[in-house]
Amino acid sequence: MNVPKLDRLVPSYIKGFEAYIPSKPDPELKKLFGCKQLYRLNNNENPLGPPPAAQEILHRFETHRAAIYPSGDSYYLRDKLAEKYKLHPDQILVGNGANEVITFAIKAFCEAGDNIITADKTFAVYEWVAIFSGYEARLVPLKDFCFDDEEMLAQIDARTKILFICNPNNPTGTYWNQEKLCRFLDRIDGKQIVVVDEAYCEFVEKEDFPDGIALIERYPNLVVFRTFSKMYGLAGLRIGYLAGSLEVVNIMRRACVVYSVNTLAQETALLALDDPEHIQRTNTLVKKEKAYLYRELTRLGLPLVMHEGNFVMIKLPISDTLAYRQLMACGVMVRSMTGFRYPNYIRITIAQHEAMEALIQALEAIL
Amino acid sequence: MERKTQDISINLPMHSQMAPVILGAVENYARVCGMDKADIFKLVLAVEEIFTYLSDTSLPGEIMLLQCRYFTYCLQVDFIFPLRSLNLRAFNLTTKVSVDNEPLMEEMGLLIASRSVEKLYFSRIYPDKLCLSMVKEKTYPEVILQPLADLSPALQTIIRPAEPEEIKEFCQNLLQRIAESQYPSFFNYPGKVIDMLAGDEYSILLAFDEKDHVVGGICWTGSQDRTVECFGPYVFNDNEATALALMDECLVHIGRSNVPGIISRYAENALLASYFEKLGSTSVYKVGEMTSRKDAYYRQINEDSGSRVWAHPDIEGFLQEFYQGLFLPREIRLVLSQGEELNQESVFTTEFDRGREQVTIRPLVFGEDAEHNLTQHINSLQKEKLFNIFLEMDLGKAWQPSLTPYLLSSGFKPCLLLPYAGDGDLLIFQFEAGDAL
Ligand SMILES: Cc1ncc(COP(=O)(O)O)c(C=O)c1O
Repeated sequence: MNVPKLDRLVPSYIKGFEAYIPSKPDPELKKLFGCKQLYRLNNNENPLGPPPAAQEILHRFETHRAAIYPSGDSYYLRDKLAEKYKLHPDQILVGNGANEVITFAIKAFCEAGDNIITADKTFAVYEWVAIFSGYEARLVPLKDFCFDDEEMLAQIDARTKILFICNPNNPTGTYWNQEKLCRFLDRIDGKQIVVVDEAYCEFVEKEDFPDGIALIERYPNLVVFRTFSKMYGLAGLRIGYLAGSLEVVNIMRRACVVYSVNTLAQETALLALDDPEHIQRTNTLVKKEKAYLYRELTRLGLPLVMHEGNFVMIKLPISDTLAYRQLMACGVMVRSMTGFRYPNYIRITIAQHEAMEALIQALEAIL
Repeated sequence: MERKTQDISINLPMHSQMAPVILGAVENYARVCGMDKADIFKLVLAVEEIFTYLSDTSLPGEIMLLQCRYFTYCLQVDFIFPLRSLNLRAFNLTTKVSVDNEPLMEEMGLLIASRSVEKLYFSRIYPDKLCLSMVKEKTYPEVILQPLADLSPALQTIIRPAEPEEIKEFCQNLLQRIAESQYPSFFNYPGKVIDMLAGDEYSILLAFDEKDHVVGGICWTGSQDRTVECFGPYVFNDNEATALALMDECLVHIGRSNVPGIISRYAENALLASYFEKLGSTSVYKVGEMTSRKDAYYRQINEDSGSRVWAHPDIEGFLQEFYQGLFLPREIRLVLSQGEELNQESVFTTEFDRGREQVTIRPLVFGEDAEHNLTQHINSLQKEKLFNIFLEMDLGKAWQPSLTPYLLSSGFKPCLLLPYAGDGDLLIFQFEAGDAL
C-alpha cells in the first residue's frame, strides 16, 4: 500500500504543531522509576475523591446500562445546573471535561485569519486548540503573576474573537476580583466573546472573587467554564460545562459534540452538586496543608507562589525536569513547569498530609 | 535584507542524460539565492558527482526527487531516491582515501563531492528510500574588531529579540570579552550569524542596558522535536542576574514544545548547576594533540516518562550507572548475537565539521567487516588531520548496539549520552587517539 501523501494532506498549522504526550499509567511509572508508592501531585485532583453521594451512584450503577446511550445533551444535569444558577437549561452545554467545551467555543466563533487572546503562563489548552485549529493565539505576558487586563485589551484587533481568562489562574493562583472583571467586560463592550475559566472557583473563599455565572445576564458576551474534575473529584469521568447567554450558547451548540458525556459522569455530577459539606471538607484540608507547606518550604528556603486554588508553585535551585525525575524516584509526582513557561518551578497539588510530608522529605533529600 | 526564496523540487529519471537539467536548476537556484560564483561552482560540482554516481548505479526507469532549500546562510540539496538499486558501500566515503589500490573512478566522484560542500549526509531513511543531503554554506568575511563601549552593571536590563546591527554589536563584545573556547566559531562571521538567524533554525535573544548597549545574549539552534543546542548565556558586564534572565527567557521560548532537551557546551560554569545536568565530557584535539576536555550539559524540557533502550552487554554497566546517576527511567534491553548471519559489508556515513576539526560517524548498515571498516575510517580521517572523531549510536534502533564491541576494540569510548536525541537515546562515542592504534 502506498504511504499517504502527508505533505499534501496535512495543513501547515498541524505540521508545525507538536502533540501533547500525557504521563504513563501509575504501574508503568512505578516500574520505570523503581518506586513502590506514587503520590500524584501533578493534576490538581481532589485527594478526598468525589462526594459520598456521588460515590454511591458509582457503586450502584447497573452494568446493563452501559449498553445504552447516555442522554445526548445531559438533559437532567443541565436542568439541575440551571436551577442552581437561575439560568435556562439551554444556557448550558455539558462536555467531556472543560477541555471539550474549550473546543466548542473556539470552533463556534473562529474562522481562518481570526485570533484569540490569552496569557502566556496559564492553562495551555486555549492556546493549543486555537493553534491546531489554524487560528492565532496571542499570548500576553502575566504581570506580577496575574493576567494583564490593559495589555490584553491592547492586543485586540478586528480579527480577535475570544479572550480567555483563567480565574483563578492555573498555575499562579492569582485572580481578578469582581471590580476588575466587570471593568474589563465594560471595556470590551460586547465586541468579543470573553471566556472566564472557573475550573478552580470552588476553592476560592475570598469575598471579592467574582461569580462569573451571575454576571452572564449583565454581559451576554461572557461565557463561563466550570469542571467536575477538580473540587468534585470526578476527573476520571471527564465532565465539565459552559454557561452563557442564550444567544451565545445557541451558536456554540452548533459546534458541540452530542453524546460525548457518558451516563455515569452525568449522574454522578448531578449528585455531586448537592454536597456543600464536601466543599467545606476539601477547603479545610487545602487550607491546613497550604499552611504546612508554607512553613516547611520557607524553612527549606524555597520561594513559592501560593494564592488561590488547590495548588502552589515552588521555585527550585535546580532544573525542574531533573527534580521531576528525582521526586518520581521518591514516589512523588509533581508537574514540572518549563512547559508552562516557568523554568525551574514545579507545581504541587495540595493533597492529604501524608503526601505533603512525603513531598517535603523528598525535596529535602534531593536538594 | 529579507530574502524569501521558495523551495523547489524536481522529479526526474535517474539517467545521466538528465544531468544538464539538474545542474542548470541547482545553479540558477543558487544564483537566485544570492550565492557567489565560487560557492556555486563548488555546489554544482558536488551535485554533478552525486547525480552521476546515483544515475550510474540506478536501475532503468527509476525516478529521483531533487529538492533545493534555501536557509539564507546556506543552501541544502536533497536527493531522495529508491534504496534498492544502490551499492551503499560506496558511501563509506572516507575509507577510500587511504586504501592502497586506486579508488574506483565513480567512488572518487563521491569523495570530491564530500570535500566541496560543508556537509554531505543521509538525513532521513525511509523503508524504501534514502535521502542524501548536502549543505553548501555561503562564504562570509571575517569580523574586523572595533573598540567597545565601557559597560557598567546595568540598573535595568531588557531582554528582547535583536536587529541585525545589534547582533553585530553582540558579536563584537563576544569576540573581545569572552574566551574563545566558550563560543562556536561562526560568531567570527557576524554576517553569517545574521543570516543564520533569518531562518527558523537559529534564534537569539539579547540583553540591553538602560543606554541600549548590548550587555549579553543567548543563541540557540534546533526546533520542533530535535534536541536544541544553546550558546551562552553570555554576559558582558558581570551581571549574573542578566545571565539567569537570559537563560529563563530562552527556556520560555522553547518550553512549550516537544523539544526533548537542550544541550549546552558553551556556557559559564556558575550558571550550569541551577539549570543543567552534566552529561559527560569530550576531549578536544588540536593538530592531533589532546588539548582540553569539554563538559556537556543538558536539561530536559518535558517530563521524562521513561523508555526502553537497546544495549550491548559490554556497555550495560556504563549505561546503568549513567541512567541511575541522572535518575533517567530506562528499561535496558540487551542485544546479543545468536550466530545469525550478517551483511558482509557495513556502511557508515560521515559528517564533517572542518571548523572544529571534527567528524561524526553514523552507522547505516551493520556488517561483518565493521571493525575493519571503522579502522579504515579512522586512518583516513587522521590522514586528513581530523582528530575529533565521534560516533553516534542510536539506542532506539535495536541493530546499532551490536557495533559496541567493535567500537571498543578500535579505540572508541562512550563519552556522552543525549536522552531522546535519536529514535531513542543517542550514545556518543569518541575515538581516543592515545589508547589505540
Ligand atoms: C484552568 C483549567 N481549565 C480546564 C481544565 C480542564 O478540566 P477538565 O478535566 O474538565 O477537562 C483544567 C484542568 O487541569 C484547568 O486547570
